[in-house]
Amino acid sequence: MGIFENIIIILYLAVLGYLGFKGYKQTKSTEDYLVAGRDTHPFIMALSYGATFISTAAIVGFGGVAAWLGNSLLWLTVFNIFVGIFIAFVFLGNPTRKMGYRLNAHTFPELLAKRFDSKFIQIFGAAIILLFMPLYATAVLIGGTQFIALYFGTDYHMSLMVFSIIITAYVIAGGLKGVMLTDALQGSIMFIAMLILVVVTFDSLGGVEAAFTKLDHVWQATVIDPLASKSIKELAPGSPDFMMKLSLLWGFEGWNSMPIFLSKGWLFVITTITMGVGVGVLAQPQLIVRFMTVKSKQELNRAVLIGSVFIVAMTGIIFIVGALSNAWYYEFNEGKNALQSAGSIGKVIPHFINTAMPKWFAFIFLFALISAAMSTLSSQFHTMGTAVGRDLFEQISTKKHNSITVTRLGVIVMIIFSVSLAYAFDDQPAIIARSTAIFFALCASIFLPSFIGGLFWKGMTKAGAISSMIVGLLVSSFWLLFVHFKEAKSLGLSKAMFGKHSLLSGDIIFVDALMIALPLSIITAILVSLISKKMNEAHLNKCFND
Amino acid sequence: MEYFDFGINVAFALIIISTLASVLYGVINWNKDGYVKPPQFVKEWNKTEKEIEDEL
Repeated sequence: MGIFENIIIILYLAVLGYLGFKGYKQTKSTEDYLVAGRDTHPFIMALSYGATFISTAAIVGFGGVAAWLGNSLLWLTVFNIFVGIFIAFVFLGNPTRKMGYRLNAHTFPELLAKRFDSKFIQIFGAAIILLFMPLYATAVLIGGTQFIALYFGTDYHMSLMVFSIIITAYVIAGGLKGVMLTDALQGSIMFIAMLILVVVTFDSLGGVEAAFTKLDHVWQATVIDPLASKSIKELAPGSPDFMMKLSLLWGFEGWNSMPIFLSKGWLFVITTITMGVGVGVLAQPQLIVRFMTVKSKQELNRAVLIGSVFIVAMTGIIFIVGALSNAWYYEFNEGKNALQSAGSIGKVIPHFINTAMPKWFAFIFLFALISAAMSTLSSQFHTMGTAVGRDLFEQISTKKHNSITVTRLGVIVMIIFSVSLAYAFDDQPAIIARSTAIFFALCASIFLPSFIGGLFWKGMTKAGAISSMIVGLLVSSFWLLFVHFKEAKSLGLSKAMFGKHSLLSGDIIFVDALMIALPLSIITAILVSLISKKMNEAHLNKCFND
Repeated sequence: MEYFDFGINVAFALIIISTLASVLYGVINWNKDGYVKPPQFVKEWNKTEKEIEDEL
């Protein structure tokens, strides 16, 4: 590493330290620590939301999947912008902010609990966060640490320790203010890196039209010609050719085409990737709490503009670059496609950056990846800390406590837990590798009906909310453990109990848990609310009227 | 765009439409407010909480 790189690293750490300190100085009350004082600037709010949403896994993982399955992944970008930003900010943001104000809620479980007047909901929500978010955080932590260790040539465990200490410092000191300020810096770095990436990629392939046109030729030359007549049994499981043959069998017809309608590939792209992540984002506790950090609707209106541009620059660009990496490798790496060149899905983006991009950009991109990991992790640690402190401990305890201190202790406990998991596994075990998908599916199935119903339907009752949460948990857990082809196989319980990876067979096992659990959870919420005892009119007035 | 099939073309069109819609929404509503004053009980509770925190 040269002097230039050292200076940049020191500068980056110094700015992080400064922003963490700024957050610390501005944190004077529980409201400051938990909801950033409810007066966050729209630019910071939008970038924080986007940077929290986009983790390293989204860039490296989904970018690699785009190299495998092509531009069909752009449907996820459609959902990310339309559902994750437009619907979320325009329709859910302001009602969430207003209800948070009226009920003096500081966390997502607390908002639901106060809306439905139920302590159980707050404790249950915290328990879900504490059970599943550490796995999701561990996945991000392992991913980020592996990049640092690989790039700087340092020991994994040492890198993990340093990485965690830096994040811990500004989360504990600055609370949500510190987290959001650093998120905004990290989001800006990610945004610039992505813009450079797409320009350099198109430039190296001779422009937009030439680049996309090449993809059809590369598909024909590296997938159809060598693999169409081969049996998948002739190929080594997990090898690049095996994966490409699998995509053919699943109904994919090229990187510029959608898979055949209702084929396995179509179900995977649309239900698991697009709907699972695209809809699941609406019920993420660490994102919803951001709506409560702004003073008025004006900030949310402005954040829509900033957030949408940020998200399209993140997922739109990485999916396009992932798919186009096939054309680049074919042209500059002896006629091979991306998977054949990099070796596996997860290695495509790092390999592409190191091979196809100038050295100085590889360094900037490393910062973008570390920033993506840090921004997601800091928000996860803060949310887990509030779940332990505010939502669990303060609800169970009979004594009054200082909320900031309790939450800080909660953050420390959850960081130690997540880092211990990451320390034990330097290679992601199956359950952790699938934890992002698991967390998204669970959050949507458990929280979404109560969250949206709670905001817009006065007739939604406490019994309706609780029963829909329980149905969401049970159905999605069953589907993840015993049916869905990815999670059920990775988790292994179905195999251990029944001797097969999935209890069902056929294309249904490609349907995401959310697609089954969410409708059942919604139906339960409606039916139980209609037949159960209505909520007190005075309480509803407090929830809905200023 | 002729190199994409119908499904990918629709995705591209929706990305552009959604982004433009978000940008336009942001621009049109840039200065539209909806500020809600915290209710009295919230103000009182914040004051009480501050006192408790100071004591602790």
